[in-house]
Formats: sequence, structure tokens, C-alpha cells
Amino acid sequence: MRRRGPGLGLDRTARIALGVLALIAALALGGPSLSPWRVDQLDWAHVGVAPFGPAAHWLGTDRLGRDLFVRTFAGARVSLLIGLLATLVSLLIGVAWGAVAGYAGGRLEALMMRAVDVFYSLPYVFFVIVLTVTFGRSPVMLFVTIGAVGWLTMARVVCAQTESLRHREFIAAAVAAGVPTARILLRHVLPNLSGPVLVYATLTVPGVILMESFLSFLGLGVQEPAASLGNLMAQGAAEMEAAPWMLLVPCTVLVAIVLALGVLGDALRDRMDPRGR
Amino acid sequence: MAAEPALLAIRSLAIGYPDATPPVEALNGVDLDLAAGRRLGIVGESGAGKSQLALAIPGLLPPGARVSGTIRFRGEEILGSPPARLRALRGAAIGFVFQDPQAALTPHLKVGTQLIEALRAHESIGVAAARERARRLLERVQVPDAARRLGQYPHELSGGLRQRVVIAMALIASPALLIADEPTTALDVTVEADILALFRALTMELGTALLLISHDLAVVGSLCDDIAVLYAGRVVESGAARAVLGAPAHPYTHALAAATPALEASADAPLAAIPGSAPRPGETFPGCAFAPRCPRRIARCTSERPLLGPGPGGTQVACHRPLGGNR
Repeated sequence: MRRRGPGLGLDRTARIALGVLALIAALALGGPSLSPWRVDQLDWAHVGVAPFGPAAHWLGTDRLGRDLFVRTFAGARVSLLIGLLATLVSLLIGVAWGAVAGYAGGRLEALMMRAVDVFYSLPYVFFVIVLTVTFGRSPVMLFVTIGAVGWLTMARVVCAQTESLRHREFIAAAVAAGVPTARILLRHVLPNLSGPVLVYATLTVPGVILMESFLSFLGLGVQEPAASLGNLMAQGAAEMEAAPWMLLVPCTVLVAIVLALGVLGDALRDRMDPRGR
Repeated sequence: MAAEPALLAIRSLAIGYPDATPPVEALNGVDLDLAAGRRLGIVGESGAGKSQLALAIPGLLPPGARVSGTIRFRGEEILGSPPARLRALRGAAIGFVFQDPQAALTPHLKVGTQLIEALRAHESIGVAAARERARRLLERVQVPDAARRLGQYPHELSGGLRQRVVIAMALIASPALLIADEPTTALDVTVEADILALFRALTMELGTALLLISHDLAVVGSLCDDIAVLYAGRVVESGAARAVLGAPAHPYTHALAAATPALEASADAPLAAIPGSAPRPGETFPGCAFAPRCPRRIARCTSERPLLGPGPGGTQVACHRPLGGNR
């Protein structure tokens, strides 16, 4: 048995990752109000200054003189929110769909998973364009569309996992004891899925954040003057040679989020395993 | 048998997997009777169809199985019953003990949770009362420190304790029939004897009928009133345990009994093995399935299937040249 320190019984690396995530989340929530600058406020006196520059531009400014500290963490807020909500949407639909299909097996499973295949084959970007044009561009629409497509992979992961669980003897034993099907699904199957689901979800969050930045780059995601890590990086990439910090600042935050989520997912998977280490 | 209807009456039970390649006939024309409170042992080699028989009774066969015949439980036809009816029977009327106690308990749920859940699936009883029942039952199956064990996870228990928990789970809703599929195969020999003794005590005390599946004639012989020997999906001999073991009429039963190594035999004595190998699933025979391995084979054995009938030793036997006969 591993010795469990305080803090959820996670190891040191995972606690650091949790700390980094908490710090970024806190800055994303409260950071912008610490600065005297607003997200869309132009400072013509200080255009494109480097980090630790004058007039409380702690992380510099972009080519319109907007404060990068404020914009980066306001953007992180949008990105985290979209990442979490879209993952939640894909988690709810994907787990329910995959678990039912995998546990039912046979014809119902075939039907449900072929439906997933059909959705998969739709050209994704075209799908998003149709949705955003039809329902208008808004962050809410963005996470609905990303989540609506993201659940497909989750459903596949969960379905395969459930199917292998269905043939395990403890499920047969629960069936043989006359435990109702719904209860078997909720109590015996779902908790056993938490490991792979959690790991896949921690991969989905950064995936969604990257997807959001890609859509924002195409002009389908978060619109100027609102900031997201995606459109900040797109602007930063344009100024990369003259002002590398415009790319590096949002990039660092994104890398930190992605890395911390990965470490945390791994540690959580270890901890979920009842056999311990 | 006219006086008391059997608890379990199986007639012409056949189980096949027509969609498998090659198509498999796991069980063919099996008739069995089990009276309330009696213990019936099913013996056979791997692939003889023992587990298929056990799983068919509570309707636990995989979806691809094609089953025909009748399975009457307390006079009610349960073969092909609607799922809701089968679920009501499972646990409440028919308990099932699986082979591997390691695999038969859900790893992330506490032992107590699983016991209480199995009870509350059939009886409207409060959690506290159910917990008390579970504790008493664990004590009854000789789990030491039962109250503490309820709060433990399966991986915290030893193999023998886990099998006791599995038995308790199968018995908690007081079923009239307990089916145990190779319940001691995964256990140490010393633990095996304890578990067999426990089965004997429990079935006598609770009046539960037992259907014991095993590949081990000695295990079945020590515990059961009656024995049915399965070979290639058919019953080749059945009858009272004493008769089947004492005067086996079928050459296969005889060979099985001879193949059980005696403890007092010297280590140098050759192990008696049955020549040839058990028929593969999907293999079919026009005559007796055992004929290719049988030392008493005659021409008729390979062309005509022997039917189950009274044998010379007082058992029912399916053989053209049974042992103990005068032919």
C-alpha cells in the first residue's frame, strides 16, 4: 500500500498539477480584476510592449495596446469553461449511450454504434459551420457543437469497455443474484468505467480547448474583442518574429493546463483502482 | 417419484450454438430430476456440457444459444420465461455459485453492499435489517469477524473467505435450489475440504437442494446423493452416488473413477489416464461418443447410439456392453 499524504491521497506530482490548475483557474476567475486594464481597453501609449513593461502591463501588450495579462486570463476563463462544459456534454451523452449499447449487446448495440459511425463520417468542420450559421455564433453554441461531436469517441470507448465488463464473472454473479439491470449498470458497470472515462475526459478537455482555438482561428469560435487562448495564439503567431511574448504567454498557459490535466488524470486513474499500488 | 413432484425436472434438454463455426451441440437429450433437499452431482470432463447445463437453468446462457426441451422448476416451465420472471427466480429461488471467487465479486463494492443488494433485490427489507441478516449469514458460513468483513472489499479477503462470501450471497434470499459450478476448483485442497463440508452442512440445515457441477468424481461422490455423468453433451450414466461409484456400469465412469489418483498409491505408480482425448466441441458421432476411447468397444458402438436404460449395477446407463453385465 502506498502511503497516503494529505490532499485526496494524490502523489506529489499530481498535487503540483492540481496546484497549477487551481492557480490558473483562480487567475482566470479573479486575475483580470486585479489589473487596472479592461479586456478590450486600448492603450495607445504602450503598443506592443514586452512583459514587465510600464503602466502595470505585467505581461506586456498586443499590437493594439491591449493588456496581455488581462486578455490571457480572460481567454483562459473562456477556454476552460468551454473545455469543461463541452467535455461534460460529451461525457453525459457518450457514457449513457456507450454503456447502454455495450451492456445490451446484440442488435441494439449494433444499431447504436452504427449511428455513431454515421455521425463520425459527417465532415466535422462543415457540421460546425452549418450549426453556427443556423444558430448564431456564441460561446454556448460553441460548446454545444463541440460536445455534440466529442461524445462519439467517448461512446466508443465506453461501449468497448462495457462490453468487456459484461462478460466478467462478477456481472454474471450479480445477474444470477437477481439484481435489477438498471442497478447493475449504475452500481457494477459505471464505477468500473470511471478509470478509462476519467482518463479519456482529461484528454478531451485539452482536445476541446485546442478545437476551440482552431475554430476561433477560422473565425467560427470566440470573436474579437472577446479573448480566448485560441484567438490570442492566432494573433500571437502573426507577430511571432517581432513580439514573441504575444504567442508565448497564451501558449504557456495552454501548455500548463494541458500538462496538468494529463498528470492529474493519470494520478486519478491510479487512485480509482481499488487494488491500490 | 409420483408422490412428490421433483423440485427440478429437466427433459430432453438440448443446447446448441448453430451460429458458431463449427456449429456446436453442447448438450443433447438430457433428462434430470432433483427432489427438494437432495444433492445431485454432475460429473464430466471439460467440454462435456456441465456448465452449459448449469447456466441454462436460471436462463444465463449467452444470446447465441439455442435451447430446446423443458426445464420445470416447482412444476413451472422456466425455459423461455420472460426476463422479468427469470430475474425474480434468480437469487430468490435459484442461487448460483461461480467457479472463481476471485472474479465473482465486484471489486469496487464492499462485501456487505453486495450481500445486502442481493437480498434487497428480492425482499422489501430495510438496509439495517438486511445488514444484520448478512452478518448472521456470514457467521453461518464460518467467516470469522463477520461484522468487520461486511465493510471490507473483496481484495482484502483470502480465496477461501471470498468463496464463503459468494456462497452467502447465493444463499441470502433463501433459495430452494443452489447451483454450484465447480465451486472448489480455484481453491487450495485444504480449503476445498472445508467448503465441501460447508455445502453439506448448509444444504442439510436449510433444506436447500444442491446441483453440484464438477470434473472431480471424488468431490461429487463425497457430497452428493445422486450422480449424473456427462460425456459429450449426453448423460451416459446416472443413479445413486453409491451405485455409480461402487459399481460403475459405463466404461467411461469406470475410467473416471480409476483416473482419480489414490492418496495411498506410491509416487511411482503410473497415473491411470483415459486414452485418447475428449471430443472437441462440434464433433458428432453416429454411435456412442465414447466409442473411440473405449476398451470394450464392439462394432455396434460406432454405428448405433446406446440409450439410457437400467444397467446391471442398479444405475441408469447408456452402453451396449456395460460393465458388470454378463455379455
